[in-house]
Amino acid sequence: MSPDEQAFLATFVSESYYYWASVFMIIIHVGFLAYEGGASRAKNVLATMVKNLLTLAIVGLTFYFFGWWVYNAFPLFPLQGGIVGPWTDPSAEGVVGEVLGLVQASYPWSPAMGPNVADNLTGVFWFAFALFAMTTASILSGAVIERIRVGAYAVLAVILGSFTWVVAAAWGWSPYGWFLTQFGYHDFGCSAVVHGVSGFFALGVLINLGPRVGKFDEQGKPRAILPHNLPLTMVGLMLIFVGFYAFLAGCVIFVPGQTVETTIYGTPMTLASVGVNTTLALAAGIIGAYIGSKADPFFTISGGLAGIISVGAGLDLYHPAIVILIAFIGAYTMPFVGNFIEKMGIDDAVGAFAVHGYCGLLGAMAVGVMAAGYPQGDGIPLTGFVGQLVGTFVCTVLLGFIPGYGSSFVLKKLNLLRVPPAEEAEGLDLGDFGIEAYPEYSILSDRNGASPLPTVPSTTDPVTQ
Amino acid sequence: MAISPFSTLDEFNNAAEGPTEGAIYTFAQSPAIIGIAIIVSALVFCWFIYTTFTINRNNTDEAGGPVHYSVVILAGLLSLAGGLYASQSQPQREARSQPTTAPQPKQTPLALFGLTGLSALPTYRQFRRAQRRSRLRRKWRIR
Repeated sequence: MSPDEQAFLATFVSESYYYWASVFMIIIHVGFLAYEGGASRAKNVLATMVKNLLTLAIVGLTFYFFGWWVYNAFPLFPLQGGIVGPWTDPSAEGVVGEVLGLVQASYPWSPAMGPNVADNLTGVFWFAFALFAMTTASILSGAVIERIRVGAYAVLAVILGSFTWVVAAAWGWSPYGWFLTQFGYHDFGCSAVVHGVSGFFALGVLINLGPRVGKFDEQGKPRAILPHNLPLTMVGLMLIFVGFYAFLAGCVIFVPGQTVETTIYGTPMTLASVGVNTTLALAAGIIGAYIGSKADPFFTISGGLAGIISVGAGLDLYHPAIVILIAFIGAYTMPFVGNFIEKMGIDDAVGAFAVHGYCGLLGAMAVGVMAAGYPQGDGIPLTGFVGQLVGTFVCTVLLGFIPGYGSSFVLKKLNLLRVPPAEEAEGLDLGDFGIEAYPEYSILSDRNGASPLPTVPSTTDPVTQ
Repeated sequence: MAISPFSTLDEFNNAAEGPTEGAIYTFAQSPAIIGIAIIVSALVFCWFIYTTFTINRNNTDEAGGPVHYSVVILAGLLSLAGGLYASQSQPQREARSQPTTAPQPKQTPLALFGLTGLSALPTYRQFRRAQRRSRLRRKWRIR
């Protein structure tokens, strides 16, 4: 084989690896679609699923317009330099020069983004990151089902999926990011960078959005609003599990010229460890949530994801036995967090904060305790508690909760956040689309979650037209 | 007790040639910690098995008390451990006494004890029910 052929083969292996990992990541969205659709009541299924579908479009497009540039432009800002862009000196050298090269390839008008035989990898990395971004926004979508306006969700998805999460990734999931270079932050599987940001963002939104009508009684005690299709929810989470294997495989860095697989931080790792540790985290998470929730099916199935997220940050470093213990603890305690949030009067329909926010925080902080002392580069601090604390705080509070609360507060003041009470009582499917997901079930309308209150005449009701 | 087996990036990058022979995981130089973690993991799993019997919200089974289930699980673990110990301590004799590839019967009774204990669970319940019925019958006769 000639050197040119070898070089091409190496490029093709990398290109193919990320291409197929990203394709399998779409299964996460199939899973979210089924999970959230099943978790909603029958009168809101279509609205829930279409909202989820729209996430792909909203984040996909905005990540192309500016999200990819944000990821490449923000790593040095504010501790090591400014935001890199068209205004940066093209002759800059050193780290700024290296970052500038990536930034120039990330503009929507960049030749690297189109079909280009001289650059097979920029596009495929964009593909992988776009799927990460969609995943982040989808985590929000489950928490706010059955009462948020589609437009408000679209705005929040753009802010979360194409900006705040991307800034967190630029700072904490980049070889140039200041979380790493200044504090030795390590978050291989994006516990805080993806899940912490989105879970806490969702919490901020939920405070302003308020609970679903009927979720709490007059004394403020929570009532169970049961999923209309728990089996669909369970199948959805199984699909999310499959997609998460691909998500974590996509976190492995292997590009032409490397002699070992590495993390985004340049530290060595193996893809095999992702397989072993993810499987054990999934297993330990399920039994942890089963025990912690006293066999609640909804929490139990979420426990698998809680386990994976709880170990995600150190998945490349933990021994399998350590993975089992951390995943178990994360998933065991997750239902208590979910119930606590509910007792606080917050209606998190799918437990997004408990699973993603809490376990993301726990997962990132666990590295500071259970994987402390690892070197990540010359002049870079060792992994440790303080470094993890700084990165986790910035991700969860500064890039998660505050933007989520602030943006939803503005939407609420503009009366754009929540559907009118009458539409919520009638069901979003009729309000948004004029049709029901299960027209044959009309006989069960008094038992499928419809309000006992008089319904508002539908615009498609032939009697009123 | 070092969590990270490496102090420099060079050691980390060249782990295959280092004292850990390629292992880069936490506590790679403290196998005792890993051993403890495995034991705790196994205990957690046993807790889960125990919980599956006791967590049923509609459970009206009078026979299944925590002590009863703990004894069953413990008996199973002990018997498996006994079987494992016996198989490790007498490999030569087994090979001589069983030259064919047929299953080894020597440890079977010990190893099966735990499984028998587990499978005896419903039988024990039936036994308790029969005892209750018998007591009630005796009561009626006396009256």
